[in-house]
Amino acid sequence: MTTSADDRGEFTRLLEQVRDGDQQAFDRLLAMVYDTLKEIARRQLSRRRRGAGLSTTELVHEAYFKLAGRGGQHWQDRVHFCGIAANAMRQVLVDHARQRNAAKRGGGADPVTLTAGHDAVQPTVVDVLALDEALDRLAERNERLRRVVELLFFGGMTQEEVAALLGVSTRTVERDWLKARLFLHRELHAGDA
Amino acid sequence: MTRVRWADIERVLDEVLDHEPHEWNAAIAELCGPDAELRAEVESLVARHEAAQRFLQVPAPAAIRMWRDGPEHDASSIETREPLPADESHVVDPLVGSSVAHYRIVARLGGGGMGVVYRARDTRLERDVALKFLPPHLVLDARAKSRFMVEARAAAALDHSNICTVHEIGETGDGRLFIAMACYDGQVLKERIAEGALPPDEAVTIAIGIARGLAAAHARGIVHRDVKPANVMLAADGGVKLLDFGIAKLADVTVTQSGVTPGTVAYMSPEQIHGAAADARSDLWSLGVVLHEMVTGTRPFLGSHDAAVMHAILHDDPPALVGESGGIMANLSEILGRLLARNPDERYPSASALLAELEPLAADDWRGAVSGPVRALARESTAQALAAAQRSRGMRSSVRRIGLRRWMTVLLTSLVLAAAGWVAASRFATGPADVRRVAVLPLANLTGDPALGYFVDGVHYALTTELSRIEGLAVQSRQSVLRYRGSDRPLPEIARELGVDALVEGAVFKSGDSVRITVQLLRARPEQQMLAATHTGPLDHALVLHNVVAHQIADSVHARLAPAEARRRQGARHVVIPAAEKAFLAGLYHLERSMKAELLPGPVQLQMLDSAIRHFEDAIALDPRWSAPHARLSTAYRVKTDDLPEDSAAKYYRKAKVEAARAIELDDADAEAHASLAIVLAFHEWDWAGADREIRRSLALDPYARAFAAAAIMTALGRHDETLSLWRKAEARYPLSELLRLSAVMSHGCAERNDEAIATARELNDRVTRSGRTGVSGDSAWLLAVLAREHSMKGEHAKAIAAAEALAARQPTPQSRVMLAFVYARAGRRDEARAIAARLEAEAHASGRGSGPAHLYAALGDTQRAVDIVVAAAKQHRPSAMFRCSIEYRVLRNEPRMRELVRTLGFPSA
Repeated sequence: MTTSADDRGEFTRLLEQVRDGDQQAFDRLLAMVYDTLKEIARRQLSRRRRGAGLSTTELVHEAYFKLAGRGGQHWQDRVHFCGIAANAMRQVLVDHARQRNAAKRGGGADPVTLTAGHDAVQPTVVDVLALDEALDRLAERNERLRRVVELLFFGGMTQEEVAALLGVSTRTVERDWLKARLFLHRELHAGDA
Repeated sequence: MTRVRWADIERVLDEVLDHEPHEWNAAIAELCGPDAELRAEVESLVARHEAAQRFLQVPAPAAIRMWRDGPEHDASSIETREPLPADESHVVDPLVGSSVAHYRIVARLGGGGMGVVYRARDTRLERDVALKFLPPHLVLDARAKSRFMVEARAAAALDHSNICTVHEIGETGDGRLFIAMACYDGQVLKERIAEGALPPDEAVTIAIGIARGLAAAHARGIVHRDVKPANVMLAADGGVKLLDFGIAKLADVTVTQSGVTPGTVAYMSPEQIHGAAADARSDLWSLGVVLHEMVTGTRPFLGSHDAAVMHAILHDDPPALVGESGGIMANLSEILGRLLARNPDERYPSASALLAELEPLAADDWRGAVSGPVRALARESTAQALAAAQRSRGMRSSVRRIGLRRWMTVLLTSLVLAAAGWVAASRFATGPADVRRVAVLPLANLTGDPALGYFVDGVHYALTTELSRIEGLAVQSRQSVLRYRGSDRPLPEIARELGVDALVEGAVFKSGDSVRITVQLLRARPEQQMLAATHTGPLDHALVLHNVVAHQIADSVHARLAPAEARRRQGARHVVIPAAEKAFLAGLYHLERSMKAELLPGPVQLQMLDSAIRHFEDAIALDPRWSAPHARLSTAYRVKTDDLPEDSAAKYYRKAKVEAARAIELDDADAEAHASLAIVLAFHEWDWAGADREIRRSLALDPYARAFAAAAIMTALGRHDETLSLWRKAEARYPLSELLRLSAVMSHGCAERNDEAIATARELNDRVTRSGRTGVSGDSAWLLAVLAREHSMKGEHAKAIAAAEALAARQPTPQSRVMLAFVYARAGRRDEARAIAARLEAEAHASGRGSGPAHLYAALGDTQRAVDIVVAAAKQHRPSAMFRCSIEYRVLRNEPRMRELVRTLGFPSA
């Protein structure tokens, strides 16, 4: 036997509680999503060869399907789920990077990096741990900017969805996103202004 | 850095970013004043502006970039920490660590409606077991409890390799029942399905395991009553084990009392729902539901709550199952038809009878298992198809390239399946359906391989094309659904936005060397899965597969939706060379990403466009007789003219014409080619009769997909009422078609229906603003332009000036300034108009496009100069797209030389 828990019901219930603002439920849900994402990420990575990509959006979708099932009733919860998954996704990637660094300590590990889409004319490569730290510094300045970055970049959400989730206008999200990237780019690429 | 300080920085940033980049330095200086530190901060941030645009770019999916030292580390570095079981990570269970009877509880494995399961150590026999505690509420009734004990002990006596071994049924000191059973390493089928549909052969193997277990139990008079994926264990050694025999009976007693059996309703047979006695055939129904779910990834009966699911089980037909893979899906479809017969008498009489049909499918050569009538049908169709294929010259070259044998296999497979799909689908079909409008959403690429993006797009392209061939079925254009790529929006909402009754959505998965496509047809209201199709094929056949899949799904959808008299239009079926198809799809992929999306601002992505052109040229080089790449290359050349000066634009218009004509020569039913040719004829060659002919042909082939091109041409022809009626028809079908609204604005303007033009423009502006896609709130620049023009033409000069001034302030482009000068001039403020005109003339040679500010000179009274400009421009065949809607024409049309010009240019008289 493995974990054959009927977590689908649990998942839906937690999601409802999160919507009602329950912080404890949020933490439990985060743990649940975190494990699921990590498991999927691990499976995908083990299938991959180097250089191949791991798409956030697909991961989040897959995690959602896994947790919420493919039935018909899950649609309205998607935005909320993505909000949580964004946070979990950041943690999965950061943990992954930390573990890798630990495993390679003293061996001159290359940083774990993220790259934006494959059709980008010029892929931007980002060191995950450096980004994580810069995000913390950003949060000290304006918490909402951090959240916007998490939701858009790690959560693969659209600006409209982020606006809906945070209760601000799309215009605000767009501006926040720009300001956050100005800051993060300065933090991460100090040398090449 | 304090929060307060940062708030200052953000405040300044916000203000600065509202300005145009060239104004930033001045703005920063003004806003920061003497605060040098603030100024330095803001400047250092703003300096990142260009780089930041490309930084962490969305919607680019984030991707882990692997490091240099090989794949081994990829897995190991993540795997160093074992994940905790989901439940344990946040639940502290007091039972863990305690002992029950002679079992020491080690860990909680999971919990569900039927109790909580723990991993435990049997201290007497020193082995690991799974210990299941039944929920206390199930055993409050003493009689139920004793009945359960009798049955569960009988089940425990079952000794079969497909039934989970029960070691013991016991009772704790406080009266809780537990079952000790064998502990297997592996995965529950439910988890497996959550990862996606299973390959058909794997699903068959699992179904056989379940059926064998059931056969053994049924032979002893034991009915499972709760066959569902959560009760099927897939052991790591490949074994299939059925869990929880007899427990459901206990639940049955209490269902009526508590009304809750979470998660199991979906697998209940109709007779179970009716409360009738469940016999062996009820288990077979449930197995049918499980089998359907395995091969499609979705349950056949859906609903948002238990009652809705039960209603679906009792009243809905299961979605048709179609597929290729050389017959296995066709056979499964037949088997499912019997398993899911609502009348138990029509089901297989026993699990053994089911096995007799299921087991041959597991054999390696399952192609031989295609059943009689289907095979006969296929043979006949194959003969016809081969005769047709021999007439095609394209066939010969394809045969040379990929080998006759392989081709035959592919062709045969596709025909067998088309026939089988038809048969299966018509059996499930239920009278005329209420679906007339569908949209095919972009398929999700869940292969984890971005390189397969072209293939996934290709399936979408082929599906849309094939479905469009069904008469009586309106299919949303590909362009209008692309914005939903990767969207997480609720499907009913998307269906509402697109104005369709049903959506086709799906995903592509990859496992090993094969790709699997799952597609479902969902009716929006009431929500119902009408069709589920799964196709699996080898990766290197993927490019052939997508057309096969599209044909089949179109066949099934046709059978399922369209009234009997509806016909499918036949296009010329050119047999395509896979390499050419690959290049074509790559071209399409780049072309679609190069074009301006709806009304979003932004230039054509030239790099994307040039890649698209290269790919189409490759496709043509590989397969010169295939029309589609010629037609799209023509479109790509036309898009290219957008950003070019006239002399180079003319070259591309000529190329566009050659390609469109070639495409039509190869396949006269290519709607894209006719539309492209129409546009070249109209806006470059001024051949209005030809344009009219071509656009009508295109509309006849594909009534709405190219409505915008049609509207543009009719507007240019001055057929405003036709344009507006076309617009209204398209609007009724596709409410979101913003480009069409834009053309309606132009048509109203041309027809001098100023108020209607303003109202339509304002409505469109509100809609776009509300959708938040442009990021601009309030009046957009183009709305201001419409307001300035139309109010001025109406003689409402104050309103026109207000709009033009706002426009010029927002976008001080030459065009905006011409507009401002024009409305000043018409309002009698000639000095201001002349001042602007003088400055514009000084800069004039910079802009160099269009017919210049002819209307401005006209408004200033210099009519002859205005007419000279227009005539000179027309002689160069400058593609002033909406000449007769142009403000120049509207101002000058009563001039004799202007009338002469219109005649010379060959405009039909309006």
